[in-house]
Amino acid sequence: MKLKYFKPTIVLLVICIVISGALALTYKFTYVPPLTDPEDIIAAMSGEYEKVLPGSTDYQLLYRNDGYDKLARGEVVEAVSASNGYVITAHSSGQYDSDPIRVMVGIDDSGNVTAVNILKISETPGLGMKTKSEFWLSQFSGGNSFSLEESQGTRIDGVTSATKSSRAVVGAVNLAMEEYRRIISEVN
Amino acid sequence: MENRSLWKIIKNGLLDENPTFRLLLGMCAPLAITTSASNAFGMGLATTFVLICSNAVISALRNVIPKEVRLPAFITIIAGFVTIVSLVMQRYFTSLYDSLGVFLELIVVNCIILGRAEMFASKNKIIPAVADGLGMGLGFTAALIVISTVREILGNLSWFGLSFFGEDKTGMLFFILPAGAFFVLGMLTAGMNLISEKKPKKTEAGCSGCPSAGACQGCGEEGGCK
Repeated sequence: MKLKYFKPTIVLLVICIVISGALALTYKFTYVPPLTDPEDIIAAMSGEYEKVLPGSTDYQLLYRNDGYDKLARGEVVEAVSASNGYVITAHSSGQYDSDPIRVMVGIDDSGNVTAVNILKISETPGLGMKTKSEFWLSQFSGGNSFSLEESQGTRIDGVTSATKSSRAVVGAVNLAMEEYRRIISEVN
Repeated sequence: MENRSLWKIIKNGLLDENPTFRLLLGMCAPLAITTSASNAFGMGLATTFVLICSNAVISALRNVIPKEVRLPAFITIIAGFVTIVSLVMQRYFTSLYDSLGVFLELIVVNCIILGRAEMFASKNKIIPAVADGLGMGLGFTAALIVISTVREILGNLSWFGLSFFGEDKTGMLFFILPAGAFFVLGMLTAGMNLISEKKPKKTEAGCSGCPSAGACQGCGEEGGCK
């Protein structure tokens, strides 16, 4: 038995163990546990709620499901009631299935969108990322059903060369509106 | 090692062997993320950090790693540093992390890093290897910023996210689209060639006239030239 047959394996093994240890340490220091307590969530997010639903106070977390942190796609992940309406957050995937867009929608008591904000997005810089601009998102204000095509609810002008991303945001807003109608019908 | 030759190694990465314009290595990032200058800057710094760290570690371990397993060993080390960078960026620079998306993790397979590990770090002492990482990284960052400056100004009418005429104005979309990336990269590479051609020509055959002589250093033979 000669050492030279085992040396490469052993060296590689040691390198892998050292690197894994370094990664475990980094992970430990950078990991932020997801918020679960409703009070913590509201404290952390109230600035965002206020942004999409101006003048709102008195937030009550209706639910935030597991999909929020696991980045579930095509799903409503959070609903909050406020003094003058609801704030609903939905995920919808655009260019990449692994990185869905997280869209927060403010809805006033008359059932119209007050504002839309994008909380998390990883689309192509310069193309899909443009859906994040206030200018583009302002198209949603005042409507209650949206489409990129003519003659179906409020028409949204898609971002040029970013149809997938535009469609994902529109889809997420429509999901949020559906969820809003469901909540309202339950309350009444 | 003298300061002068260290400077030469750094300058080598910035100009003579610029990884993007001269060696045409690691073309994924220069084409994909150069639609905005701030992304290019973030990506360049992340790559530079990984390059310096991996060069230093690989150079330190160059006598320990057996030849047979050097590639898996290099890739493990590089992947380790990339994951550390992405974890730290996710925690402290979340918006940059989100906008770089999948391309941050793709630094692992960026061939500049593996290339420098194989061609330079595994054959040199730590300090020159770090200088090489710094030079190559800065050369890469500079190239990304130049490409993205052209693309962002012409395509999006903005620079580092600052809009010139308001967000609702659209520039020449061609430059933001993938075709624009190829066009700008090609033009800039041609420009670099034009500049270097004005220097007195190296007429000699063999290693002294070879632009990649620094990369293969060491065999001592003149290839097929003599």
